[in-house]
Amino acid sequence: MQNPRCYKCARLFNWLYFDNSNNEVVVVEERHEIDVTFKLDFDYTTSNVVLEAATNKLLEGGADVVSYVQACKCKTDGSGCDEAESKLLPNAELHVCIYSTSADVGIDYLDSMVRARMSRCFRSVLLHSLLSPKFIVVLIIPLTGCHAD
Amino acid sequence: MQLILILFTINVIQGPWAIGFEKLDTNFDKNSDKELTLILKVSRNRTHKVLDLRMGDCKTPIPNPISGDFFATSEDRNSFDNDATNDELVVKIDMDKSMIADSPMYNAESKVLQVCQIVQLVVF
Repeated sequence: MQNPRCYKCARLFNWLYFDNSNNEVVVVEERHEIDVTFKLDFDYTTSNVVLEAATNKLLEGGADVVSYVQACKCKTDGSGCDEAESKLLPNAELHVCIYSTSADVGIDYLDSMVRARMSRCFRSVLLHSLLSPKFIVVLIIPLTGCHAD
Repeated sequence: MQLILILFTINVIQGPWAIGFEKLDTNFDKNSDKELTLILKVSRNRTHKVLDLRMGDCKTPIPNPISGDFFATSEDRNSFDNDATNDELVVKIDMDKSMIADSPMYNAESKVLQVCQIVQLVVF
């Protein structure tokens, strides 16, 4: 039977014990087990789950990486963002660079990508890090003879 | 027995001994400086201690060499007029985010970072 004072206990808690190392009596002790789940798909909203009161608590949180990841129209050789404000010409290929803005987070791979508009008129080619170790480069190629819905 | 009597006497004079969990906030944004914020209620007039962060089992210290650099803990204790029996204890944990991925606290497969924060009320 589960101890009613202890919800989702992982171990016994200590109550009223003498801490020899500090010459003090610990009357109440709470152990907060904190789990933070990282969602790596860039569209996650942080949420915290609060469990009911107990002495030994399992806490859960979430974290996203959206603030680390940016994308830009990049140069055709994949060497960096194309800062020139040139418009993309009809039927021209588009190189998209996806990169991390911080040394704290690196991008290992691109798992999936969704094109929101005219998806059937384009084909995506993942060049990954062939062109640059810093950027993940996706080449978007317009398909000839295709018309938007 | 004597110890228990002393504590019982203190208890009667000063009120209850309690720690209550209020909230856990997480912020691992690029520019965050406090990644974990734990908000608790602790009985007023009781001395609290916030121990160093531990591994998820709540026993194992965070191993060297990362223990000294991986986290820094700070705390604020606030009293509010609308609560005569409890103070608010805010435990703030600043983590070096660049060390998370390679740390033993992070499970790359499940993408979960697991740590343990122990808070005590003590008598010296």
